[in-house]
Formats: sequence, C-alpha cells, structure tokens
Amino acid sequence: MNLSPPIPKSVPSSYTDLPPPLGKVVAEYRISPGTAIVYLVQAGQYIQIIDVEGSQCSDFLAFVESDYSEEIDGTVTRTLNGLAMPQTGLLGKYFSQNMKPLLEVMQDTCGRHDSFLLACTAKYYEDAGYPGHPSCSENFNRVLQPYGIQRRSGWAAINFFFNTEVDCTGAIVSGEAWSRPGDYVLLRASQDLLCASSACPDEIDPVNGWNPTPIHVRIYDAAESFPKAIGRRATAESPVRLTRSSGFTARIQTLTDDLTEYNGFWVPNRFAHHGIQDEYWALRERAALMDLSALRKFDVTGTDAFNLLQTAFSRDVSKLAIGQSAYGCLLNLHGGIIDDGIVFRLTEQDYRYVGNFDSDEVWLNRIAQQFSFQVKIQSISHLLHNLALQGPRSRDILRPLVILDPGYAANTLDDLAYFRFATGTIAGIPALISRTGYTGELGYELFVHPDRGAELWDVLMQAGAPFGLLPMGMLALDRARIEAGLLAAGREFDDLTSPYQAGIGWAVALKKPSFIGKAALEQIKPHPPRVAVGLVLEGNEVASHGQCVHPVGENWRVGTITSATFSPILNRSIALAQIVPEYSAAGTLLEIGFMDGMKRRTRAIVGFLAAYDPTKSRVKA
Amino acid sequence: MISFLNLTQHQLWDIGGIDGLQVAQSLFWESVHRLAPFQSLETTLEGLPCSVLRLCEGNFRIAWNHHEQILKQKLQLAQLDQCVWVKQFSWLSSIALPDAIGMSYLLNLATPKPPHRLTGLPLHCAAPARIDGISVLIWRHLIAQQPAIELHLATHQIDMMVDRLKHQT
Repeated sequence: MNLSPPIPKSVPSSYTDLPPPLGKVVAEYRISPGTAIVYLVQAGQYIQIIDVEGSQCSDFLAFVESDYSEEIDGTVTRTLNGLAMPQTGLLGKYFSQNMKPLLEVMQDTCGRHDSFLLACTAKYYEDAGYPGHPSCSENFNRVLQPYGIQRRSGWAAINFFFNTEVDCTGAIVSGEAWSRPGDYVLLRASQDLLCASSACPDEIDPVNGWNPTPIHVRIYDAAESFPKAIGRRATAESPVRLTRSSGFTARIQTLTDDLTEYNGFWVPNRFAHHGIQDEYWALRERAALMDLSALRKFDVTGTDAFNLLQTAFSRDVSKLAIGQSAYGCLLNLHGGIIDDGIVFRLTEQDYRYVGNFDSDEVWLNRIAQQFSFQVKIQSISHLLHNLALQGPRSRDILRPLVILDPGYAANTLDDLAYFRFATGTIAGIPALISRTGYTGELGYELFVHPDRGAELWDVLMQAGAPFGLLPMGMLALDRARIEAGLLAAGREFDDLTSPYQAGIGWAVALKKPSFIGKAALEQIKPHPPRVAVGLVLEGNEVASHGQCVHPVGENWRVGTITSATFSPILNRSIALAQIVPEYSAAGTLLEIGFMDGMKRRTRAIVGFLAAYDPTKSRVKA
Repeated sequence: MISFLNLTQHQLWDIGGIDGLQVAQSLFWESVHRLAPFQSLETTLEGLPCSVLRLCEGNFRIAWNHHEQILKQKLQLAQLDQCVWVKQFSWLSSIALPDAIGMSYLLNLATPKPPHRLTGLPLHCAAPARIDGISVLIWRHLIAQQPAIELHLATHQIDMMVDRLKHQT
C-alpha cells in the first residue's frame, strides 16, 4: 500500500511570464531553479510542463498511484513506439515496464528531448570537479522519500527539453536546450499517477544555457479536450504554430486512425482495411483521392508580380498564359533549391505560387524589397485547401460534376490540358481545378475554401465509388512519386542541391536575362557534382535513403540513394539516386551497399529517373 | 454458448523473406501483389481452395484445409533459389468462429492495436488485437467456402481463449 504524504500545494495563477492557460487549470506549480517537486495527477487530467524562460531542462518521473513500483520505462517506451521519444500522434505514449500506457503526448512545441540519459546525478558533477553540486536525481530522491520510494543514484527520467542526440559514431552528444520561453509539453495521464518534475540545476555546461531557470507545471481538468499537435516555427522569428487539420481531416478521420504530422498538417498514412498496395493500385488503375492541403499557397499581386517571379522562380514566367501553370523552383544565390512548386498565372498581372514552406513568403518578400518591386505577397494557405484526384478514371469522375468559368482556354474538363487550370464549380462548390499532380497519373488538384472541404470530399467519394475510387495516404503516394521520378524536399533536394543535381535541370530557364542563382547555375550546368538517376535493382531488397552507391567491385562511392521503394507495377525494387556524372549513363551497372555497405552489395542498372511512364504519356493523356 | 468451427485438417503455413512476394506470386498468381498487409485473398492450389494473408511486404500466411503433402511439395518447389523461409510454427494455433456471431463477440471483447479497426472489418481482412491481454490475430475470411472469423494465437493460450469465448454472453 502506498504512503500518502501531503502533496505540494498548487500555487495561485499570478505569474505573468507564462503563455495563457490552454483550459481549466486545476492545479499549478512553480519549480524553482535547481529543485524538484512531486504532484498527483488523475487519469484523464493533463500535465503541461512549461519552460518559463527557455533553454531549461525539466526531468520527469511518473509512478502508478496505486503501485509505485510501476513507473515509466524509457526502454519499453522506445521499443513499443520504435522512436527515440514518443511523438504526438499514433506513437505518442509513454509505457511502464509492464507495457501499460501511463501518459500520452498531446502537444509539444519544442520537439527536442532526451530519453536515453539519466536525470543529472551527483556523480556527474563530482567527476567534473563539483562535489556536492545539487542534481535532479538527488532532488528526486528527496521529494520521493516521503512516499516510500527508494533512493537511486541516478533516475532514468524522461528529460524534457534536454537536447541530446546519438551521432553517427554512436556518441550521445548534448547541447543547449532548443526550447524558447513558453515552450511546453502537454501530456495526458492514462491513469492516476504520482509525478515528479525538476528544474535542472546544471549550470556547469550549456544544457540549461549556463543559467538554470524555473519550470512551471499546470494540471488541466480531465473534462478538457485538447487537440493533438506539434508546434513548429516557419522561421527563426515566427511564433509557434500547432499542427492543423485541413478542411478534409474530419472526413479522413472517419476512415483511418493512422494520421501523421506532415509539414504542419495531420495527414493520413493509410486507410483502415486498405493499405499501401490497395490504395496504390486504385491510383494506377482507377482513381485515388488524397489530401494535399499541406501545400502552401501565396498570391503574388501588384505591378511587379511578374518581375518578382521572373527573378525568384526558375521557369520563364513570361511564357505563361492566363490559366496556365509551370513547375519549377525557388533558388538561392548559389543555385540551391529553396523550394519546388508551381506558379499559376491567374490574370494579366496576378499570380499564385504553390510550394511547400511558409518561409517562402519571407524569401519572396526579401527579394521584392531588395529589388524595390511593387508587389504584394499574401499567404492564402488558410483559405485554400486542396485535394488531389488522380488516376486514369479521375476525369470520368470529375466530368459530370465540373462547370468551368468562362475566360479560360478550356471550356470543359476535357479541354483542360496538362498544367492548365480554371476556376469553376464542382457540384456547385467553388473551386480552382488544376490539371497537375504528384503521382505520374492523369489527375487534378482541386483547391477549395476549407469550409467547403467536407462537402467536396463527400461529393468526390460518392461520385468515385462506381469507378473504384479509394482515398489514398502518404505511404502509397510516396511509392507512386518515386516510380514517377518526382522529387521530395529533404530527399532529392535541399538548399545545397542544384536543379541539375536534383534532376530538374529542364525546369531552369537559363535563357532568362537574369534570375537569382543564374550565375551559379551557369557554372554548375556543364558539370554538376552529381546528377539524378533512376536505378533498377537486381534483387527484391529495397534500398533506403542515404545508402551508398559504388562502381561494381569498388569500395569508393559514386553516389547515394535518395529514395527507394518496391514498384508493384514494375514488380522490381527501384530507387532514385544522385550519382557523379561519370557513372550516370543509362545502362551503367552499379552496386548498392546494404547494411554496412560491404556485407552485401546488390547490383543496379542506371535508367530513367522515372521508372514508371518515363515519357509522361499518362499525365498528358 | 458460441460454437467453434471444425478445423481438424486446418494448417497454417508461413512464408517470409526478401523474395516472399515473388514466392507467393509464383504459387498464387499475380493478384497476391495487390494485397496490402493484413489483407487476404481466396485462391486455389492444385484446384483446392485456400486463403492467403499478407502480413507485411514479404511475409504471407497460408490457411490450408487439405492434405499437407500437396501444399508442402508446392512450397518446396516454389522456394528453390529464393531468399525465403517456409515454416509451420509449432507455437501458433488457430480457432474459428462463425462469421456473424464471431464478429459481434469480438467487437465487444477485443481491443485492436491502433491504427487497426475491428469495426467495419471487411471479409478478407485481418487485424492484430488483444482479448483479455491475450494477443490474437483476427482474420475474417472463408473457411469451407463460408465467411468465418479465424483467430491466430499462441498455442499455449488456446484453451484459455476458448474458455473465455465460451463464457461470453
């Protein structure tokens, strides 16, 4: 039976250095720098651990209230989640040694914590020449002693805001916490718990920014309902923004519980009772519907809108007619890809850029300012969410539903050519209908106001049912885009990768008089350090991002894998890779190193970047 | 009280490995590659009906209700020069329930592992779950040409599970 000593009293909410409460606070505690507290939490209640001033670690323990011998187990938690730390979403629970869930991460605005190391110990300080220094472990021993919980030399705590990482040599490195003032972790208790939290006393290294500061803990009522969310900042100066739902998410959640955070939105990985292959074949043979609202949309208007895009975007925007769009990229001065996206010409003077990042707005504004362009860049991502309806039957599904507005080259859906768009209605819902996609199939991207999202989803799912339409998640989409040789940010490109290396040199209009990155790209084009190729592997084993590519029989490398999958339609293991030009000719035989790169080599033949439909006949059909 | 289906000749055979899909394809035709994990199909081997369940990219389970030698020979041939194993697990057993009543029992008793769902589990689909802490794979497919619920679980927990299901009201 557990002892029941008095619990620290919650403090009145008189602090002015905190973010506003998220809901009804039932208790709150201020933890002074270098101390620790215990507190009780009932099942269903929420614990918000707030880093008040930033860069401050807070170690955390939780014991089952009815049996203090059952506690959070970091190893069990890592194993069951397959993650170093639970993350908000499907894999967000902390488990006990008996594999029972004790807590679930509901929100996290920092995203960098430690679950490998002990809470700081007396030994750590002693070895560093500070005998007698307070430690989180000793502070925990002190506050847990009244509960009959035996002291330990070091507590295997969950160390919130403690910035550690296992590097490529296996070393666990640490540094100053990433947390900023007001960053927090919100946990939901799965059962009644005795918890302990610290404000770490470590000032002898950078982990607390050399200056231990307080931690604040709020307990929220179990009747509250907080959405699961991850907080991210678009730029260094931006406020934290929590994961959003799109106009379609409510409908999607009726069909799957497998959602993941992608670029600030909750998106489905796959759908219940279906799965990757099922959804993939629907796309390739019939039609598939996916939520791509995480794309960012910016309206570029004003007298210099054209000049701005001609300066920032890799394609020649002067060639765009109203109702036409072009895929390309935003470039930096050294020719690296800041983002890839599509420019839509809306009117004589107005354009829209659809890309991946909120920070594109900052970049475009900076260029506008630098060149004194008279232009307005307005993020409309919150006003336009988008579905992609893709697959050979997508036109048949849309045809009876669509009425296009006059004034565009296309009068009907059948007239709408590849990379053309028009406004209009879909079953009466105002929409922008663009014949573009990310799958290698005939398809359309449909932009609507989020308020009409659920309605559009229902209309399309109903209209698509006779054609075998399925909703499709990100896992099947990734397989399809690799087959089609389409790039993914962070895989095939980043801001150190030129379009010539990424395989989209065709999207650079070097004949334009000037644009950002042009001088660098003129130098890179004749001999890029690497070029993008497709590989077809000899065996069925699937390669993975970062694996090395070698000449046959050689130890030295000629490139790396950027993405890989098993292609169901080709029935082959395929990959996208970036290879030095000397080994990039079609038909070249290479080897991919599996495991440590030496234990097993699998041969692969260089082919088209798009293993599936390299002539793009299907998207143009 | 619930009645269990007769699985006297019923066998489970597992295939796994890098070439698992290719072996399954050679045995059960191309349509196997259309299955997503935890989906299954009904097919025939040597003219005899059987069910094939995909468990992951390269792992499949075959439910076979006929003479063991027929399947064994086919599997031996199919795995030649392929990077796969073919096994019958001594520690894995199954019981089966009639479809409608079985599903209504399980909806009350079983907790699926997220993100799997039991509600609306279609025929030819499976989901990992727990019943009173016992791990089960719930598979909805045809047994003797009739829709049924097959539960795969550790052999040593069969009696406990049978007892648990019999006492479900």
